[in-house]
Amino acid sequence: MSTRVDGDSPAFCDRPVVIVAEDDFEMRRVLWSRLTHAGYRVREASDGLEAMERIRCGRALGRRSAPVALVADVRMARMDGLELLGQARALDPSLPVILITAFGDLETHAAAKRLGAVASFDKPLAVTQLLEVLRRVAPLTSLDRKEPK
Amino acid sequence: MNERSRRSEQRGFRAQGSRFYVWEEDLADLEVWAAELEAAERAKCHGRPARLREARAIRRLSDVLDRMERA
Repeated sequence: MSTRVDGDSPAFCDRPVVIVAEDDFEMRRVLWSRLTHAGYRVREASDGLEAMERIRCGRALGRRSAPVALVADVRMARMDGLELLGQARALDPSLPVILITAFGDLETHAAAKRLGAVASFDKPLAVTQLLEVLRRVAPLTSLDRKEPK
Repeated sequence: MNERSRRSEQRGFRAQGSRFYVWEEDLADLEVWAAELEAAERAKCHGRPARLREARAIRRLSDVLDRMERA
């Protein structure tokens, strides 16, 4: 999928960073494309461990690189979405997490809510709805957020 | 506090927002790989494949952070 946005603009670095953790390449590319076009700076991860690495690095690099939200698939190798949700929120309790799942039984949604996810979506995913939630919890103007602790 | 962090403290380097003292070289590495990560992300916006470049930058950043935390 070809996506061209203004990557040369100095304002690129002012875009709020969102981590997308998804093991399916095509799905990840769709999310990258839609969120990038929506104005976010998207860092891709193919599993929970990679996502935690990106959260950690982003926070260490300061305010402009710290993630403002995490979008994660539930079923992934090495570290699944629910474990990632727990670890990410243990590191940063204010980080909004949105889960997506192809196996959206009630238990999974209940676990997501219990662990602090702001929303959980079933696949096939309506990206427009995900974007609505994302814009609410991580507004594009959110770079006035505080320095990560 | 080991020799590495003691020497860093004498130099007065302190990572932004962190509680530990770090080597000047580590901070320089951090800047290099942060710039590489940004370049990879910008390349992707131009439709150029940069996934491996991005992953390498993250891995190197992670290595630097590990070093800094061990100091």
